Amino acid sequence: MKDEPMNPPDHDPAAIRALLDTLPRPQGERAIPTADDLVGWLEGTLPVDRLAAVEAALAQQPELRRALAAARLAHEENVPAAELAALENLVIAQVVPVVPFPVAPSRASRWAMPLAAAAAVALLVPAWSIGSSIAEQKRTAEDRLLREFLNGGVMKGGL
Amino acid sequence: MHPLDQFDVARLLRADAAAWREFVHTAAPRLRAIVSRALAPAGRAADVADVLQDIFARLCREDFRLLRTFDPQRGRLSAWLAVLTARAAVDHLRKVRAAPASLDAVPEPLVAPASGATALSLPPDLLSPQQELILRLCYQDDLAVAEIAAVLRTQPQTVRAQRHKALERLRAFLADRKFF
Repeated sequence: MKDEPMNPPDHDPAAIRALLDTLPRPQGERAIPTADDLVGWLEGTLPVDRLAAVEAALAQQPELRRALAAARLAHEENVPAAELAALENLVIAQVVPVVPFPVAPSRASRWAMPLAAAAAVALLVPAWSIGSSIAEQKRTAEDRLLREFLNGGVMKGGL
Repeated sequence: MHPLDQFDVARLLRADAAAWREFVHTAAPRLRAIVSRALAPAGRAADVADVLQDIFARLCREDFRLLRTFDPQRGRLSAWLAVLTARAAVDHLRKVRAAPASLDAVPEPLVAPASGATALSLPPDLLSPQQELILRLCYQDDLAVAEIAAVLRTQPQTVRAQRHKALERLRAFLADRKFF
């Protein structure tokens, strides 16, 4: 403990520290002040009815107390150059939007697909038509041959 | 007023790289002091840089979702950032403490506890919250009276008076135990 010479301690600080450790810790909501409460406490704008709750919570939470005391005392700490550079890089990497890889626009017009489909249909229809015609001719020839066979023409002529 | 409080948050939200660079340079020394004060006494000074990075990353993440929650009507940017930072440091310590430790890392007690010893317990309302806070700032955090007065936004003589009252109460309670 740092103390002024005018006000010397008349007690054992170690004994007081030990005593403080025996104070019961409050549980529940009282122990966890909201962010707004803590901001209000830092700003000095906290309503009186919330002040005791925040002070009680700070008394019980040493890490939070030390951190916020540093904020109230406006402490600053020298940031090593490498650490500062790392922070800057991290932030800029997240902030600056990623430039997308340039993609060459397609030369195909919007009519390319319908034209291709139409061309396919135009080829398919004559092909289907020619195919049907050939199949018809073949069937006709087979019919004639069968008819002649059944009428005995082929058998008579062949045997 | 801290230079952070004059910062144009709208520029940060517009993803202005120059504004973010300036913000990092302005905020980092203060936020580092806050993280450091929380972590160092717990033996985690080596984690300070990681926690600080995490805070800045959280401010940028998901299109500045966290930063967008800052409302200047409810407090200044420096106070909002200080609370955010203090809580991040406390959360980090909780996370680290919650992680399972190996049995080898747990020190053996040097002296076995005396059997039948009962722990001294103080009544919860023996001290007011402010008196307890003053005693802890004084004896556990080693702050001087002037610093405690600055932390509590009060006069040094008020701190001295409250500390005196708190010690008197402790003395009265423990008079028959000859603790002091």
